[in-house]
Amino acid sequence: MAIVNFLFNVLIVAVSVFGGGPVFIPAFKGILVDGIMNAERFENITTIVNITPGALGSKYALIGGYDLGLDKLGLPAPLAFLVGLAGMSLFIFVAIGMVLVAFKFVHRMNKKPWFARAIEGSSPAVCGILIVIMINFLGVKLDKDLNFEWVSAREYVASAVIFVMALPLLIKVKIKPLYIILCTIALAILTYKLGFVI
Amino acid sequence: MNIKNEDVLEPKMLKKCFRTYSLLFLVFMKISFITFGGGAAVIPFIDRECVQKRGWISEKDLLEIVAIANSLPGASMIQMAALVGYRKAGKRGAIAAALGMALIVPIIFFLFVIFASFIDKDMMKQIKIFVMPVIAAMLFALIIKLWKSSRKNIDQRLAWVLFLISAGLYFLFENSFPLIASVIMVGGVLTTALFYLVFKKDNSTKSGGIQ
Repeated sequence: MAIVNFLFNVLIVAVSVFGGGPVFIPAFKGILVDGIMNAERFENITTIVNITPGALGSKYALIGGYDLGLDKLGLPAPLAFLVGLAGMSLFIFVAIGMVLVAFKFVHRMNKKPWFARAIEGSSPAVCGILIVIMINFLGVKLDKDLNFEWVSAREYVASAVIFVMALPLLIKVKIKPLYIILCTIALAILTYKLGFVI
Repeated sequence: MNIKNEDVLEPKMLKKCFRTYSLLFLVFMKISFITFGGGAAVIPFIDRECVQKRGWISEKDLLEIVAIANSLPGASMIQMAALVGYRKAGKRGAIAAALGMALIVPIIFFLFVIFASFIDKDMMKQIKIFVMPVIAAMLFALIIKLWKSSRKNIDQRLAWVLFLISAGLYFLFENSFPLIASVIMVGGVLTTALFYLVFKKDNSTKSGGIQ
């Protein structure tokens, strides 16, 4: 019953939370904290979820299911992992299902010339959203109450310097982004090991 | 004769299909390993791998994919992968691409369960701080490209108005109003469609077109 309840909650999050990324944090906090794990464990998981690559919501679904199986139901680790995997799969397949239905609708509308043209012409709106996301990645964003979320001055400076260095490498020199990212990861590890922690 | 032909063609087609699904799976797995930040961070990588490098989708398709994924609930990263996969190879392609994108999750889970004591969280944080500006630079390059291509399709004054309003609204309300991306996308499409319809009507006796 606890597993069905967990899966149902994951389903609700998957069909009701718009926006993706960090938007999932409060949604999963609501279904995981107190019922499945304590607030401290959730905070630790949130740190891991945020600093690793991949889709945030899927990570919460997997770890939440695992914790439910292991701690609350007393299942052995492999079975607990399967519970987590079920949560993650549900989250993913609901997302795929919704997007394919929407795509079919858009595809049908695309046959109408005004709609096809409008989609092409909507790129300034997409650019507007992307420029804000870009600014967010550089550490500038507003919180729920429209206050600025400040990061450390060091982080701003490091972000600005790396951004300014990466831009010409991508646009002018046309180095593959993967190489730039790998070099950046190496630089991050090196500076960390040398004691320059941001 | 037909049966003979099918006998010859089927394994070949199967092999080709399998190769396509495998490629979709592998490409999105590769993308997922370097995409920090979730959601929109994946867009420049899709542009690089699926538009520029492999030509699986066009720039217009990418716009459509971003619009659809941002206007629906659920994991937008997975949804964008599924849409590219669907464009390339139908439903199975969508599943292959989405699974490729999602595989990183259990891998990270195992790494943190097995090597929890060896992983330095501060170092991981430092890596994220260093990588995010590179993804921001990739996004900027993509914005320039989309902007240039939009010049062919839309009046520049309307483009600037849409751009500034969208950016302003998204910056102010991205965290307080979850449907803001959907509102902006639908608003952008409707405004452009209205502009196009009105403009086309006005110019029906002239040259026509949106520019």
